[in-house]
Amino acid sequence: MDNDMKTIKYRILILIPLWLYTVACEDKLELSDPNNTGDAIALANDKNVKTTLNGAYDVLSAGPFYGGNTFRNSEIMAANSEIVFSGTFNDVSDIFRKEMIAANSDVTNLWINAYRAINVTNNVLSALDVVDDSDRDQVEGEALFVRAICHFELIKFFAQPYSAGNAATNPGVPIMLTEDRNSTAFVSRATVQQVYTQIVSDLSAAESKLSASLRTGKATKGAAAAFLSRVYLQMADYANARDAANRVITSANYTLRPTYAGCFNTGTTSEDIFDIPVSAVDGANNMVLFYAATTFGGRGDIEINASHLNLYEADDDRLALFYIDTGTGENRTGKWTNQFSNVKVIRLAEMYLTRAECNQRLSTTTGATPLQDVNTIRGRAGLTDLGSVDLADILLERKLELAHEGERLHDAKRLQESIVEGAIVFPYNSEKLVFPIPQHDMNVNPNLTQNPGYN
Amino acid sequence: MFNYTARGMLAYDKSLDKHNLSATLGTEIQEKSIDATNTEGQGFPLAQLQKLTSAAEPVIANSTLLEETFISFFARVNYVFNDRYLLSLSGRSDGSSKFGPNYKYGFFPAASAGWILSQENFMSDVNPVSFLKLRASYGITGNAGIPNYRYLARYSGAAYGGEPGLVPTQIPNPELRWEKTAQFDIGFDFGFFNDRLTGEIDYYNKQTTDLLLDAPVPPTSGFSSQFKNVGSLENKGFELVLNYHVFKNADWSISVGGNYASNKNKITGLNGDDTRIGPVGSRFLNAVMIGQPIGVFYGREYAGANPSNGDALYYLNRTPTQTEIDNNVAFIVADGVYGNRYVTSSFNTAESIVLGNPTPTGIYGFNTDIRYKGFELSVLFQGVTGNKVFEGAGSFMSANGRYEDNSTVDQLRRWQNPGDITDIPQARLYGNNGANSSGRYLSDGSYMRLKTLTVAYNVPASVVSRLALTSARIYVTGQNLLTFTNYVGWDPEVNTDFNASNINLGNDFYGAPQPKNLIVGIRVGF
Repeated sequence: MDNDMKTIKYRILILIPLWLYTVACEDKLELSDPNNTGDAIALANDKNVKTTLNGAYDVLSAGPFYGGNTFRNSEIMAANSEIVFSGTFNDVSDIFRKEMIAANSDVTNLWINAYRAINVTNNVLSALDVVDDSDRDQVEGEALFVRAICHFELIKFFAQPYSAGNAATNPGVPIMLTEDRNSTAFVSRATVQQVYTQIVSDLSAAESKLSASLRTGKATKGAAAAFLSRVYLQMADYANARDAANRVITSANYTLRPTYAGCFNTGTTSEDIFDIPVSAVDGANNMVLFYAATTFGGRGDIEINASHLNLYEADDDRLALFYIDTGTGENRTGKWTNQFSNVKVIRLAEMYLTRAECNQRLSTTTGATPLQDVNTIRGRAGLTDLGSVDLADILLERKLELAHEGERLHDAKRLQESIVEGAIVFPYNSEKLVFPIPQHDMNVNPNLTQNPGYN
Repeated sequence: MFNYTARGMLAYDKSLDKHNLSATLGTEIQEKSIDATNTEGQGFPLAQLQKLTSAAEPVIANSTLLEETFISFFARVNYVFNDRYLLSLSGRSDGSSKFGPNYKYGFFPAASAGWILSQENFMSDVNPVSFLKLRASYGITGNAGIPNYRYLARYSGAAYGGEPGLVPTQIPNPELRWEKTAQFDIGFDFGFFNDRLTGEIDYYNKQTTDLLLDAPVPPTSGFSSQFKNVGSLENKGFELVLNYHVFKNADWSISVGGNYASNKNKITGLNGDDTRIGPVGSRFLNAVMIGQPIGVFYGREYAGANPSNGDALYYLNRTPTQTEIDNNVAFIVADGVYGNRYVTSSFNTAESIVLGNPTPTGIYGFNTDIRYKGFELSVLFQGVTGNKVFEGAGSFMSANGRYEDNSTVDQLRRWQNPGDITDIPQARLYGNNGANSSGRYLSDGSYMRLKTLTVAYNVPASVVSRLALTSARIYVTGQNLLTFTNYVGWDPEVNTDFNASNINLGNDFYGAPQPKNLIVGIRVGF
């Protein structure tokens, strides 16, 4: 018995230090994540808030969003028998055929990405008070800019267009103006009008707060004005669209590139008002991924049909930019062939065409006459000047100049043009041209209503 | 990578007369850290220069550190009286760094009792019974099988335009806690006829609460999912194992054995107003629904091809509106081809329903072992019943001309002419005629498989010793030689691991089928 107790004592003596050590280690249950940080740090000071702001751009620039898929979706949905998507990604193919289901992953990713970027901007906007006084306007302007263009992409894809009327009653998308940092709110859809009003308000504030000096991939006064011109065009507010475009042109911060081909497959040029920087180490150019032949590192998924090529005059430099994919014999656009080049979002050429269209519609000559603006664009494309223009001429010029850059669906909708795919006609306000609210969100948010035609 | 475990235990054993007591007291600490660096470069000047220093462009440069701590205090007491009454009590307090500040520790007690009836005097007259033990237990266990840091708010590093950025990537959940399972077990272990027939029977009832799940949240928040304790789950079933030595003498030995386990599981509750979580994404159909098995398949019910035009049809599974009937969006196919039920060619119009259970409700196996002198024959069959398997690759390889890929044989019976009655719709190149994920790609996952078959000959000792060997065995073993199943894909015994989780069950996605092996061998001992 004595012996027994002795052993036990020794054993306890050995155990005690380990037990003490274990108790002492309790604080090791409180591990901080060395790869990530919390909002207490991310929004703590001037530098960190600015770093978080750059994070908002990073989300914006993701492949499913401004890295290219948003623009690709606009083009393939409005293919109009002029282009064909023949890739193997079934969710993209469903967008092309306008037979989406509510669980479509491309649709879902666009939605998720847009709101993720919006949330980052709202985080930044909630911490403006720690930003240096001298930079506060700029930081606020940039956050408002990103928030506005995200809402703008959402409203264009997930709701009936403004041109369909009933903007005050048609369901738009949820407007998110505060950060969701601890719990998730079940936000319902605002009306189309409310969403546009918010976008105009954010962009106008951004334009007034932002500096005009150019920074690649970042919001500037010019970029905010250029987006405002797009927003007003969707709203058929031609006077405001014209003035916004005119402000960009007259700022003299931008100039047309001497050649059309020189606008593409490059970093930021003098013509780029807003673009997404892409390099070998950072960013994705999904326009190249889907449009380019495999020889250029693309998937060769989008073929250009003769019906599109036939729209160009024979000596148009823009026609010359198309190339034949030696692997498949199909025509492809030469705008997207360098996978490490920037994703072009808005070019100066669009501002001339917007100003021309609005001046024509309003019978005004703000900045220049419609004929002068159209001839500016034609001249750069190596074409002879026209003697006169009508609205149809301007709209055709716009379609050709901006082809395969992501504007087609939104232009078709605002112009109330049908999309014709073989024997099937999709009116501009067809349910099939509106994305479904993603199933992911419908499943978790009881306050959302689905778009007609989806279940 | 750094990983250590320190465990200290104090054990006490004492036997006195008919009493036998043992006790354990202990503590354990475990720390893990994984420090990983990943770099990748492009543009190497020569094939011989393969170090990153020669790369023209570093493309990926990445390092991560993951840390995890686990602390336990535990105690156990075992008591046996008279070799026939057994009692065991235990308790442990586990702390994990994975949970919220106030929920790091879980307390997990357990108790079990056993009674070896065959030791009792009153059983000594019951000759056929050689061993009989009744046992019961109740205990709570914890599950911390989630990734690290999931309760914290996280801002992750990002880069844009060559400058660093921060992005909120995780919404905090300070309430994140242990998933707990309370399990009740009762069973018999038995041996009859001098242990020629042995076996066990068990019944169990498991109640899991605070089920851990990476649950979807409204993406309008800026996040798409969050680790949460979402609800409760029930598992009930019984298990039976039997082994019987049929015959044995100097030359012959024959024995058979079998086992069967049944399981019923269902979600008994979800938090808040939720009645269903998922499915997430368009490819797979697993959902979490109250009253249904975990990971239940939920989606559109596929009907077949429209005999008049070859469109894929789905059962509507709800009462159609008058407009849908007037516009021929919902209709009943003539001649009762799809019964008297409304169908639609519009995937979006059809209602989703519960389509099947991904988890087998029955698992069984049986084996036979026959020996005659040096010869041996052993056979093992295994099987499952009651589950369905989703062929996730069906959307690509059974997709009616959607792609130029190789297609499955069933495409040969596709709809071709008006009047054709078939389950395969018309092939439409680059189209999507019924290729969305639906019940179409779900089939019965029951199977019975000849898992192993071995024929062997052991060379008699007299011969072996003459060859200066200690043993020699010649054998042929076949694995997976036969499979009986109605599953349409390649192998019903599959769960695609890239996608596997506690709810993503019963999915196939180009899963490589298990090979049929035939092994011929000679084994000699020197």
